[in-house]
Amino acid sequence: MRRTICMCCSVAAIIGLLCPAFPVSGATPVSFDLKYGVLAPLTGNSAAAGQAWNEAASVGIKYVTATLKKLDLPDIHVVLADSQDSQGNTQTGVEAAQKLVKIDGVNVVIGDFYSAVTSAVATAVTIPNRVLEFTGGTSPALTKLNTGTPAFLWQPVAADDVQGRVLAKIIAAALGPHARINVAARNDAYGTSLSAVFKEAWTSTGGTIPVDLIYDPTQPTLDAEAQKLVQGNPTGWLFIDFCQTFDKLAFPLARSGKWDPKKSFGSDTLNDCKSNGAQSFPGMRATQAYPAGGASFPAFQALFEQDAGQRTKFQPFTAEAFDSVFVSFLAALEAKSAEPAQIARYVVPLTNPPGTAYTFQQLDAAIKAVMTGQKIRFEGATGPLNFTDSGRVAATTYAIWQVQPDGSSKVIKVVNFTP
Amino acid sequence: MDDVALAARGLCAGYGDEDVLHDVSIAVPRGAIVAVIGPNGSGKSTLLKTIYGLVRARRGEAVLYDRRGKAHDLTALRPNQISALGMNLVPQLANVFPEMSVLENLEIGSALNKVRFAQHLDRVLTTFPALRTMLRRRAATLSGGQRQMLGLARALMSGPTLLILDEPSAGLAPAVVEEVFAKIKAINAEGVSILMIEQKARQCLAMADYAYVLEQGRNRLEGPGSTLLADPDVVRLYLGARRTAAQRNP
Amino acid sequence: MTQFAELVVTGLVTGAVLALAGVGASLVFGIQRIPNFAHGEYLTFAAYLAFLLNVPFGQNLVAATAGAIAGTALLAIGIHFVVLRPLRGRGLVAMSLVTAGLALMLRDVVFLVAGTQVRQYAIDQTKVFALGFLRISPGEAVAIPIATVVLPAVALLLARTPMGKSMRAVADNRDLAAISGIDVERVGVHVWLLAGALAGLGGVMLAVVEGTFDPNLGFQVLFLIFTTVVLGGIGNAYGALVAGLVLGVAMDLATWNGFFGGLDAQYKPVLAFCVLIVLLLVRPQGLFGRATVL
Repeated sequence: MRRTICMCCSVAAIIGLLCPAFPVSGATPVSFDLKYGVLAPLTGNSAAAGQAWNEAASVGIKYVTATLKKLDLPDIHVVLADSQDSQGNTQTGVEAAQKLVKIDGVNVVIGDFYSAVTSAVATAVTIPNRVLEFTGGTSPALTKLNTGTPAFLWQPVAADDVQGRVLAKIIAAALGPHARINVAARNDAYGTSLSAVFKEAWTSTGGTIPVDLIYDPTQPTLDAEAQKLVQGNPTGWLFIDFCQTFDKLAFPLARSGKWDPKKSFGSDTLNDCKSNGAQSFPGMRATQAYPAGGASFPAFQALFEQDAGQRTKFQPFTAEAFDSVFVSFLAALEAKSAEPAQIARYVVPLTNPPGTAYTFQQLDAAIKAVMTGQKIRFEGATGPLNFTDSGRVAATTYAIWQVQPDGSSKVIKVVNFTP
Repeated sequence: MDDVALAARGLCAGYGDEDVLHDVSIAVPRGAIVAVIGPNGSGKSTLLKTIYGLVRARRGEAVLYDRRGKAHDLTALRPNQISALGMNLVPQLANVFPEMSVLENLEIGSALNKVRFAQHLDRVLTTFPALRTMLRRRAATLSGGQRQMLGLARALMSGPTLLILDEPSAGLAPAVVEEVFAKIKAINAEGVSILMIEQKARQCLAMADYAYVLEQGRNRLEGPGSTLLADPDVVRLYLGARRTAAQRNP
Repeated sequence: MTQFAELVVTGLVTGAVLALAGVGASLVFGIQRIPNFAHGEYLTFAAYLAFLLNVPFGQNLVAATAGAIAGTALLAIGIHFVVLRPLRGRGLVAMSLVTAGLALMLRDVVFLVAGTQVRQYAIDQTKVFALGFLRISPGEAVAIPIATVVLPAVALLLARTPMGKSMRAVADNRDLAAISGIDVERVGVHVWLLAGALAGLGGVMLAVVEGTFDPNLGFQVLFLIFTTVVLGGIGNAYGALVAGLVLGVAMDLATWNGFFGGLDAQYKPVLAFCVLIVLLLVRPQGLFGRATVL
């Protein structure tokens, strides 16, 4: 009798000791307040793109909040604290970011997609204050601003050192590797660095650049520059600029009678000028990191058009903002904290194998899996992402856009690029 | 009592905080030449400018009486309104429009009124025949004496009944001075009342019907021109001692 | 050779804009004794007003320009009565600061209302008109006839009409003009009307020639306008007319390949700056001004 009682007591004690290891759902409540801030040019030349970026992030955050409510997880709060306008210039961007970080106390900044603005903001605001930033900017110098691991500045889009080489590859395929290409780039960090990368890539395979022009897009007229660009007997052209300021160069080019848009290529910011409220030139091609590589992209587009479509025109590249919301949320969930330094540690494992793959459409299942301690893998609407410790993504797919006779632009080809 | 054309009573005026004129009063009888003399800084120029509304009178009044005897309070009027009443002023320095031609100067003189211009042009050019050959020249290219003539001519183009002259002989060679004073007398002979201030007090008093002496912005003396000219105190204080024949030829 | 001719054409067109704005600024300075740092913003205002009439309201460009001219003249008068006249007599420095402040305010109002994105008029900017061996843009095709008519008309207005003579007289010797019976106040108002109207025309012309424009339009040419005024002799309206054309042609011709490869186009403003500096050092009264102090 006494031995039975002792054994029962031991078993009970062992069970009692082991009980906490097998929590019932909600036994160890995860609780954090994740605050997002959006930084984008909501006014100015890139307002159309900036507004779309803001809407994409907002749509993502609303989706997360709705899913949390559905799963009845009241202790996890996710909120868009504020959207600030960078106006596309560094000074305003830095001030706006200061407001988001210091006053709103955000943990994650989604934006900017101007490299120059991002560079200033990361240097002056987010990295010193140890706040996460997910940028749409493509300058290769951006992720070099990270001072160690884990990174605070993440770049979900392929950088320009890749884009420059992709352009060289695409132009060679269209016009031949020994073609004479005149290059015109705006005189900021984006223009000068991309044109330098292109020049190196192009000349190393036997191509020539008769006229390599850096110009100031804020000048009253660009007639003299246009005159220079039609000299040197070029086979084709490469333009690196934003749609609105590109028009100022394109008009005198068109008037010269010596320019052919069908033999012209543009960088990623010139992919769809009509949607951005500027004039487009039929036949002109441009390249952009392909943001629609993920299986969930159509669902993202549908969600965007449903929630925000009446206000703002959909732009594919904003999938980067959308994905950034989910990556940072799920990483926070993994870290059980909204502390940016903690979140940062989980970004790389979250977006790489091993683990079961989940898209945003399966967010509820993904949340449950994380909370039961499983290793998951998040796949964005843009594609598998595959973040590396440096802050860059490993996956690169590019789309070639072409302006149709009616002025609209569409993707005519998708190319995979192995750096 | 003479029929008075212009009267200033108790004028106080100045630039900035300090008053230059203290309670100055003068009167110009119709058809007379009235002179105001005095040392430098006695406020003569300021007096003219105050009468003409170019300097604001702090106290006192300046009144113009037209032919019908109606009084016009000049301190309430702007310069162009004063000129419309039949007065005109020839300033000491800036008395022409240097960038405009002589002819344009005369046109402006008649306030660009074509009728008035036609009315007075011939008479003015008869009084100043030298101007006839200079009509197209820019006023800045004229000599000092020619400019003085143009300044007077410009004023006459408005057909004034009262002319105010601020040191008409300033900076001119003696021969030219004679000529200027002769012209002034001729203008007066045609019925224009003259109020003039002058440094060349002796010659001025010689042609004045009545004169005032101002010192430090106040009335000092007054009287008919010839009387003041003969007064030894006036001669000593304001005209500079004239050397006797013995002093001139030792 | 073609390049030379085309540069002369573009130079004359820019010069015409500078001449129109310069005449107004010169008259204003000569008569109101105000250096109007807001003059550039009058051009911006005109460009945007014309845009408003042309694009959202769908008027053709001629009607839009007429509206812009009238609107800018009204703006100039309005500012005169509401801001400048009440503040008169405070001295050159104070008035300069007032107009500089006004300039900032006007520009920011345009930024707020119209936004920072570049705008275009509803005309085809890629069209080309062939004039012999010259290729003329739509902006130039409009600006050249306007300039050839308006500039001589302004010169005639100043030379022959009573209003023009009054303006020149008041600019030359304000007190004497008043003594001569000219209503100096009324002339002052007329000057603002004229300066505003000319700036209105100049602003639209500039926007058409540039192709696309943003709220910095007028500010970018402000110092060029002042160079024009100084070059022509401050207060000398004819001088400003000629100086504007000279400056415009000089800046564009400097980029001609024949001059040792030509100046890089981005340095055109530098050339104008140098002209201004040399002028102020060597001959401050400008090409046509008199060597006297204000």
